[in-house]
Amino acid sequence: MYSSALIKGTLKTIVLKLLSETEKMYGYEITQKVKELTDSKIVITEGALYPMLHQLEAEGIVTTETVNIGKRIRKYYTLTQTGNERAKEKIYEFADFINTMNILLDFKPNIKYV
Amino acid sequence: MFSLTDEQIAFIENDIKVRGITSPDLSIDLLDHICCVIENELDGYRNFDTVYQETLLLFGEKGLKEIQDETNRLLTFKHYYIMNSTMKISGYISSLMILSGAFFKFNHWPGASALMLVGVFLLTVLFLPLLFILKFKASAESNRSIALSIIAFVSSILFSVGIIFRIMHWPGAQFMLIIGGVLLLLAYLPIYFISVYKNTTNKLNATATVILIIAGVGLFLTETGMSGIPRPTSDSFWRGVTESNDLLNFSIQENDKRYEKVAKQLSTDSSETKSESILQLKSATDELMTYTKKMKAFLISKTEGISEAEAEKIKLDALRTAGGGGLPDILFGEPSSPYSAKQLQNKIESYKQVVEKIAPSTDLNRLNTGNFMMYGEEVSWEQSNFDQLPIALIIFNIIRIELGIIATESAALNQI
Repeated sequence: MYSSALIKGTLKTIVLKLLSETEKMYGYEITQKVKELTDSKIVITEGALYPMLHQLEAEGIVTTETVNIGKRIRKYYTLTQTGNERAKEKIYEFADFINTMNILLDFKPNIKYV
Repeated sequence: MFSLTDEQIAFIENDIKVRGITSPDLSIDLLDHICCVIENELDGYRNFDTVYQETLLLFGEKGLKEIQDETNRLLTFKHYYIMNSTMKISGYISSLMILSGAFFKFNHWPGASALMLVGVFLLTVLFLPLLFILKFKASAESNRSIALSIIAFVSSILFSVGIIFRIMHWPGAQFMLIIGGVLLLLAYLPIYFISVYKNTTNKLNATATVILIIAGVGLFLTETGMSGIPRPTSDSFWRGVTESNDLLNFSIQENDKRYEKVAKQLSTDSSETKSESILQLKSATDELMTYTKKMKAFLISKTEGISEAEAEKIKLDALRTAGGGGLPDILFGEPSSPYSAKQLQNKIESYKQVVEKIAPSTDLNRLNTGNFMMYGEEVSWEQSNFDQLPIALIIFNIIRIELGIIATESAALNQI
């Protein structure tokens, strides 16, 4: 698992990327998906995820819909039109960042660009 | 995979509330999340309570409440971008206005004061508050940086409001400026230095900043505290002041001699209206001259920190290095001040009326107190004589006014 300082700056990008690929996701699903995709190397903490999702909602980047599951309610998050654009920007920005880090640190990993 | 019973869900729902989550929106998220985790973890061997307690640990040391706090922080901060750009734009505009105002002033173009005033106003009501709200939020972690932000905020607000007050001649400007400076020097700097110096990479930065602040505040306080006359002109200027003062004393004596002469003449050929007029002129002149004399003593006593009795006896030469700090407050507007520019103007005006009644054809131009044009800007009599000047110049201007009074008195005596 990477240091939280490294993950902190990329959290929004990760979540936006996931939401841009899937029609709708709920909070727990997001954490599990990230865990699964990264082989548990990146773990999104609940303490960071929910404040951020609520912020994205307030900014109009995601919308929510609720579904009743027995006694409890599940809230699904979906990207809005602006959200899609923001996701593209963020992903592009981060890819560019990785590119720059590549040049700077002179390592040759096999990074696949999005 | 296990499914939680309705009772267990109700239990968790209630427990979330007990742990301080008040936002219904967030508690829906958390309830579903916790349920999902538990349902994945329950395996038939461990009981619900154990797994629930373990799950809560996922939410960090400070618990669920911290998530809500963090959410609130982010949500109240959603105007961040607007605030940030407003701050930047207002900062650019106000610094541009202040700079061009200074440039205008330097070239004696009209509108300089208005530019500076609007610039400082923008700085005070938009830029500084926004800067500190943003800064405060960004550094909300350590007590020291909170203290730093607050001190810096208070002192810079005091500074800029003080400058506005000074330009507008409202009372209390000097007080605000000095408190602001002292706060910066004695409270902000030590805390700043300690906190940044510990961070080894920043030593040069910290030292440089501290030195710059000390130098800046020092220069500023020197300027407000003792705005002396520039050296090269001071010697010849000073000869002018002393000579004017000598001339004044000489003229007073001359007028007194004339009074004596006239009194003798009157005792031989008695004309009641004439002697009454002369007595009136003398008492009006004496009254006005007493006021200006006391005003000088009062102002000197304020800037030099001595008693008024001592100030009356002080040699003018001793004022060479004295400042003029606080005088604008005294001379313009401070209600408790016994002497003000406006009051002197009124007294001169009523003196002129007395003279006009006694000797109608007397030339009163020497005591003109109207506005006049200076460098293309209309300047009031009060401003041109008393505004933002060191004590030496103010005293010199009062001496000039006194010379005008004595000359007018002499002219009136000739008319009677």
